[in-house]
Amino acid sequence: MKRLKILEYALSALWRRRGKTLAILVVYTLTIAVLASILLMTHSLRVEAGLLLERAPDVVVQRIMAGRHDLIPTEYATRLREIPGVGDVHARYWGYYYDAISGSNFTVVGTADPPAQLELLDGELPLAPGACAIGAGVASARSVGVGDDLILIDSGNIGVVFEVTGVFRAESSLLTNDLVVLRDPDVVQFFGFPENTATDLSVEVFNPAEVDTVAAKIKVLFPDTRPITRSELVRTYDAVFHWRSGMVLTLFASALIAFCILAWDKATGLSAQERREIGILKAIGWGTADVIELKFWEGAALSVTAFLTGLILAWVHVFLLGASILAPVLEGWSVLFPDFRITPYLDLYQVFVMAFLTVVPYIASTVIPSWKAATMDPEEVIRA
Amino acid sequence: MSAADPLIRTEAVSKVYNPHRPDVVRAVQEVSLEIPRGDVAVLQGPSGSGKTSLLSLVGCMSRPTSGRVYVAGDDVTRLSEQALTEVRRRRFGFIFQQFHLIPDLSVLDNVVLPLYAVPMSFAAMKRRAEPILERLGLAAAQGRMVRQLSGGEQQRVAVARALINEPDAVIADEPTAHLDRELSLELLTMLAELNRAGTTVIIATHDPLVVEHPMVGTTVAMRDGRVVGGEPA
Repeated sequence: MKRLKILEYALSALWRRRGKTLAILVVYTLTIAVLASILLMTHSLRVEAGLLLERAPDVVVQRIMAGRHDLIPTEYATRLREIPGVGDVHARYWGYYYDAISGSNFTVVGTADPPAQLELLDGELPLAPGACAIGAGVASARSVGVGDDLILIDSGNIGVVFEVTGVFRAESSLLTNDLVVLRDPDVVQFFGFPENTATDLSVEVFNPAEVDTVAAKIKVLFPDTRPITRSELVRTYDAVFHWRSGMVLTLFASALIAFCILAWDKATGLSAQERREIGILKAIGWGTADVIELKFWEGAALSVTAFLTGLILAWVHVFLLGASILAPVLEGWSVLFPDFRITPYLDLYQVFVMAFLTVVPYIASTVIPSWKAATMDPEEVIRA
Repeated sequence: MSAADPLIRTEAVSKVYNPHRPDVVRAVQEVSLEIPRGDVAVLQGPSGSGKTSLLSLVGCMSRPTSGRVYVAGDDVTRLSEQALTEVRRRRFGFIFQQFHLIPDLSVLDNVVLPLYAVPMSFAAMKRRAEPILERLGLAAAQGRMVRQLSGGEQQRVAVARALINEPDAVIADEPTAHLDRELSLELLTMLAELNRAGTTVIIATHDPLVVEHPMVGTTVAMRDGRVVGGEPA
């Protein structure tokens, strides 16, 4: 009962100083919102990338010409299959398409023998020539859906009509958002690939422990290629996300420090009115522990409110508004990107760490100076 | 502790502020006095004579630099902070010169503020406050903000707050300093009624209206931190 009464008094004290309380609440909330946006977005991108990379080939073999990715002869596949431990080898056909109508880049990918249904696809993958499945971003950019026609301009500057047979759902949007899936021969024809060449080769390795060994053998067998293993891809994604979030966090650190200084200044600089109030409370029978508890509740109520509000704002910003402020820094896959939606993933450990690093210091910076005032004799506090 | 013990007794008590600095202030110097239960004691003297500092010492609001303070026979000089708070809460109600109310709280909230620190329900707090507010003519104003009240009404709120813990003694520091003659007399009448009901009253003042009031028992005249005269009860 006593605790409840002190909490009630703490809330009324915050309300009585509502101008000051509101100012701190706004700054605190925005600080948390920016910090949480970075962490939520980075985490979600990493999770989403990880989920999609789970289905990536064990090894992707690209041909390198003058240090750049070049088309690879499909005859390489025959010799790759002869390497011990190698299973299927598939030629992959894909490329980028700049869509002048929407001002976006699409990724055009070929498929040879697609399954009829995919969990993350409304409709079906292209089973016949002239059909396509598209990402949600492409569908939005071109205002098309299943059953509509999608017209793209091929390498010969001729308009080609594809019938949309499927649209990918948002859950896989990191890699499917800007996707246009065609049948392999359609991709070859659309981009005008020379005969018997592909964009790259995907290689299946039976024993996961042998992947690096197989990749090394491929490099020896075909010195003009670059074998990329799935683990290298995962590491690259991780490094990119860490680097990007680290960069933003570094920039944000200055704002965070400014906030900490503000919070410390506010908390340590007890106003004459606050000191007087502490003195009155002590004189009329409140103990030091009661005053400290009061200040604890004041700090906790303000910081927890700011933390939760900031977290909700970050959630709305990142997952409902497409992280419009941070996306250009943290996504950055292509310069022109269709409207992007990030799938919500929450790392509770990260949330707790964030709470610990923001709420606890604020409460401490509120309680410690009050503790100093509360341990003085009430007469001194009132006279001060 | 026995009923024969005076409520307050000091033995050569001194209070020094800034003891190791050039601006040292010897506010109270070796004062010994006794205030019996049920007495109305007045500490009188000019400004700076040390009466407020002595009042703080006997009210357990500060600790003496030397000497001893006894409350109801118990030595409170070296009590822990928590124990001293308990004595202050249980034994004393304070009326300050400048009221020291929380202006943005209602009359009722100000009056029950001391009870926030004790295990008691909101309903019980209100029940205890009601007769006190009634007696002091504040029942109708209990929902109003203190800053909306007149000086006299604020003084009554301060008295009500001092009584809410049902203390053995009410300690008042210059209670008439900001009141006109009429309000001062009204306050003194309230204090006299309290005293008749058994509450000890200890007042620090330099107001002759208080010093010469018929309710006053013990007077202690102070100058430069020392007792220079007075009459026992």
